[in-house]
Amino acid sequence: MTRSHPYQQLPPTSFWSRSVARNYAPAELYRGKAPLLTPDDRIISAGSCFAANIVPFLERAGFHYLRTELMDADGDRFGYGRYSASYGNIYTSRQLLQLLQRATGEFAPKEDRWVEADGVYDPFRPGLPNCAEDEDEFDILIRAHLDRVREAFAQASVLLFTLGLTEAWSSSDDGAVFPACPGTIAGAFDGERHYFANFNANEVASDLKASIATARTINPDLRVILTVSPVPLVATATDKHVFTATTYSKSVLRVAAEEVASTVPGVSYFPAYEIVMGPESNQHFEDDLRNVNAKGVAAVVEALFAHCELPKVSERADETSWQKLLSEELTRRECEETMSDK
Amino acid sequence: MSDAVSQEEIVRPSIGYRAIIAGHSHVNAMVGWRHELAPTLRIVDGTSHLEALDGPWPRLEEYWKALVQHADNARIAIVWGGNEHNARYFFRDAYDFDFSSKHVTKILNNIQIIARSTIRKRFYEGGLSDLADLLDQLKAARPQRLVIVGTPPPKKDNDRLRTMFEAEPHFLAYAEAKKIDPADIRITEPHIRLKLWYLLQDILADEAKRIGGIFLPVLKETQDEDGYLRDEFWASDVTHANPAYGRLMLDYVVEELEKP
Repeated sequence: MTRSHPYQQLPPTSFWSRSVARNYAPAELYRGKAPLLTPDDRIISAGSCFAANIVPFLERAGFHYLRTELMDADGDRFGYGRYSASYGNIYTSRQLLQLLQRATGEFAPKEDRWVEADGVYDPFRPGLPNCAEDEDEFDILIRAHLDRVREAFAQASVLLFTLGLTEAWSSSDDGAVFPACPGTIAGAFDGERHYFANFNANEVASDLKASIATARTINPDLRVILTVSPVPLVATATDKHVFTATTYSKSVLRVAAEEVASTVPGVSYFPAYEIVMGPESNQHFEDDLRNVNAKGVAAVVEALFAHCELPKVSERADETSWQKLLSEELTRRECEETMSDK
Repeated sequence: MSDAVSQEEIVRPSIGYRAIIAGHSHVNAMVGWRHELAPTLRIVDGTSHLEALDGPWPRLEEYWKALVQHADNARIAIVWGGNEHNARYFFRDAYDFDFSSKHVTKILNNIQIIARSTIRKRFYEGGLSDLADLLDQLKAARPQRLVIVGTPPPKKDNDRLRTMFEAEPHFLAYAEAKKIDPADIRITEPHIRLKLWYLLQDILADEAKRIGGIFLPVLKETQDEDGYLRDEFWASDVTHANPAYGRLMLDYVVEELEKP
């Protein structure tokens, strides 16, 4: 008598022995059918710094990475210019939600600026290389920045969002979440005004769902691809060991991502975390065992592209600032000429 | 060598100080141009004792060193730079931007707004840090008076400016070498160029204040009602003002230097 059971019909990828112990192929970790990205897509990205790492690969492949707010690269130590608008790293889903709520006018944080001797700092972008010189300018810059954020979400067809952390520092005034603990980059820490939060899976999933809902008030057709950053915490503010805290944090993010991808239409989960942390993980990190190396990023990109419809023309036109060169040349020429008593 | 008079030959009235004017290309509208292989002083035409420091172009370290050497007990006017805003931003950059200004209220809402401090930083990178160094050296040389002179306001009419640079063969050759179609070249919006210029003037004023000097802003009569350089003061190129502008400004500088 032959016994039958549900596992008999499953593909090799359902079995560790056939798809991990042997024949491991990172691209097979994603099981979706439709292309994640197509040449017609207008892509924006946000999230932890890992989200920025794949952008150069997208652009080199010829995808349209949308930028509505640009920055000069020099002095940009925190990578604000690497994203579609200069929001910088968005580590938590609460931060993403509040950014979108600010862009749509639903939330106005009370602690919205840090006035210091050398200028006015944005608590939500404390590492911007050039801050406002006074509060009037600050108001103009913030309003314009949020307009650019809204514009990015309005024009995009797909958002790549990488969940990075569960730990965050917030304002006691209204729960506004900062990307970095006040006092570390700018501002000053105030134990009465700032508190530590470590979001659980329900909170992260809820914030993600609210973020997507808010984004879709701007752009109802926006698709979302979620990933979880494999980069461990640089430090934990809990009383746990940083390794244990990292495991908790990544587990929460992974659960939340699954919950949202399986319940919200138009949302996919792409397993970048698993690709980096999988059987070949010993090849994917720098010596600090924290930062993902080029091989790790390449492994993610290769697997991602295996599930995309790639543009036919790679390498979009170089948009370097030839205008700047022209301006320099014109004034150099004219100064020389006036010296020649023309 | 030109007909410039060397400093030893100048017969100075007994006024108790030397008055010297030096600077980059915008000083030419005021004192006329003389090319010298080495820094040389001459009496400016139409003045009794104001000396212009001529010298090689571009202005090298030796030129400014010569100014410092003559600074002891002198009254000095400097026309520094003045094209920092044009050199960086005359043509639209890789991305469109506007910024907030204390002098010009117009601001475009549909494009990116950047921080003034970003532009300020670019200006310093474009030569103003050298001015700061020079002023420190001059101050240490104990001049009687240090005056930084404002530089010509921008020209408003973009169409007219376009005809000017399109008639410039060297510039067109440069564009061609870079495979740039002149039709694709866009001049920065006038009101943004005006803001850039005002910011530059603010920085010059701040630098003057920092070392206890005087900033002499451009005369109001050289500006139209919006602040641009009036048409009658345009030189025939994109960035400079003409001798009529120079004459007005020179009188203004002399007056300031001769104040008790």
